[in-house]
Amino acid sequence: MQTLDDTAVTAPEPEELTEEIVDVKSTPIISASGVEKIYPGNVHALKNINVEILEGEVVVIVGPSGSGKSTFLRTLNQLETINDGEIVVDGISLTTPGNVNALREEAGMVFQSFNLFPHLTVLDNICLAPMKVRSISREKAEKRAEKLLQQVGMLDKRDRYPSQLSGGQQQRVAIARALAMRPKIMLFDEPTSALDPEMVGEVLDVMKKLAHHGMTMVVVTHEMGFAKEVADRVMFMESGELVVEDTPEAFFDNPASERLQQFLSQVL
Amino acid sequence: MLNLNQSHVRQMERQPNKLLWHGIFFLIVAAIAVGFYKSSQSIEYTWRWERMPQYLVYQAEDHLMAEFDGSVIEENGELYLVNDFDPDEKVLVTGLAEVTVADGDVIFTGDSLGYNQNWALGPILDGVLVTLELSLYSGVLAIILGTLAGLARISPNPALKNLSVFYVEVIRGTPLLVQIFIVYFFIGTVLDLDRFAAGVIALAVFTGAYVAEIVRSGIESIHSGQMEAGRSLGMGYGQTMHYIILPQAFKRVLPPLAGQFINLIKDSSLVSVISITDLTKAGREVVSSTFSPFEVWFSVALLYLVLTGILSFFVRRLERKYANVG
Repeated sequence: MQTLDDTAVTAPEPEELTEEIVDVKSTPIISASGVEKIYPGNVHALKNINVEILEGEVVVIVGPSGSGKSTFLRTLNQLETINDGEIVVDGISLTTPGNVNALREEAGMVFQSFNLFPHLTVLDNICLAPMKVRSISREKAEKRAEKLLQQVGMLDKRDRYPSQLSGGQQQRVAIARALAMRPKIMLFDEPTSALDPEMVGEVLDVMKKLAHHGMTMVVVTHEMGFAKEVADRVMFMESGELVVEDTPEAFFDNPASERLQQFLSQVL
Repeated sequence: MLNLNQSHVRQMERQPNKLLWHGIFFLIVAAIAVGFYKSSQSIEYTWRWERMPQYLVYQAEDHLMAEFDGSVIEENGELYLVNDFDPDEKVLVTGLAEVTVADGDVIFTGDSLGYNQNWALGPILDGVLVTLELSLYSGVLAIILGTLAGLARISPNPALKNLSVFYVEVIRGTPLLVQIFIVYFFIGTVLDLDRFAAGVIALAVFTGAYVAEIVRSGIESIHSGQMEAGRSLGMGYGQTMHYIILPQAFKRVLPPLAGQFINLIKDSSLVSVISITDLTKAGREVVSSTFSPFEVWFSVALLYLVLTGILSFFVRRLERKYANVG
């Protein structure tokens, strides 16, 4: 259960870590074992996925469309239920009923289509969940929201509505909104796929900053440059299977499977 | 959105001569009016519009009645009613605009001493008030009932979902008139409801079924990503509905909801069958005392038009207020 006192939330605030580069990649914060997902109509979306992700690690998942990478990401905060296997996130087992909301508070999610709340201003988009879920006062929530908006470079747009912003700006607000819950993990589901090319950079920059501040991140993306530069580990999924799991150097320079080689030659 | 589409069409099509076609419109309306007049002449109908206003408002006479037998006596220029057998019982006749008794009149208990004139609502406007009251109460109930049924319809719980489907199908598949009879004669008798309550319940249950469908489609029109975004931030199903989905859905359902309430005002005329004196029933009563059915029913129709027109005016303002966001 959440306490009313938000200081009890242990997740570090990114802005407090500006100088210090955190590197605690030792304890697994996400561990998935034997995950199976079958959609109605017998579509086998995930086949025996086993993954351990360490605290502070940045994991990038790539693969052709329909390979199950987004599905896997969405199982990590139970936007998709699983048919078999177990997922434990920060000590919370997702197969135990009733743990879902507790988990979702720890795992922030950024969507391909932003999914900002169109009837709320930028500031209210960010303040809503902390106020309603963590019971923080509006004053405090707004102060924190402004800090986050400053970090993503959107403070001057605080009173705008989402429809008045460009795609890149909306996605940066969406990242700030997820961060406002002070999650321990950030999940990115193709965050730049719906953006015009000239806006991809501004969103990736925010994500890079976040990675350097030690946030645990799982990113599904087609941005190979981001994977090379920022990822600690890159995973390749195909037809519901986790095929390759490697450091970015080995992944790109020395692909471990023929299928991966083919995929890379198509996207690079 | 609609205006945008229309202007697109206009840009594509050749512009018609506006003055000409407006003129033709007025000619057609005038022709219809003349047609009505001529056909009423052909059946030798005598129009008596001058009789109508008194059924809207009239000067009511508020009489002061004598409370005992006695005589009227004038003293110092003022009139008193004095009991013949007990001279101490003496009342000053005062506060009247029109005094109908004079010095020396013999008065019996219950006789009028005079009256004040007040403007009062005639039966037709009384009927308008009853129609408004009926529509208001049943409208509020219908929103509550319809929202609950609409939410139940999209609930994953089969019991709730089936209940909602059952309710909507039964109500939409049977005539309102029959429902009013069932509510009044069956439920009304069992629960000992008065006719007004029975009318409100029948209208609310009927309109609620349509509101339920409007609410359901409104919620389903909100992109599923909104629910996912809310849930991924740790908000519960209820919280996400309350703070994210319903406010957006409300804006979308406003136009169909307004249409439904305009229907409600019109449908309320059917409760006159259980002797609620609404606008329609008042119209029937006035017809039977004036024998001027044409004037009465035209007036009644006009009053319904005013009621629904006022409602759609306010809804359009509300729509414009919400249109700037999202």
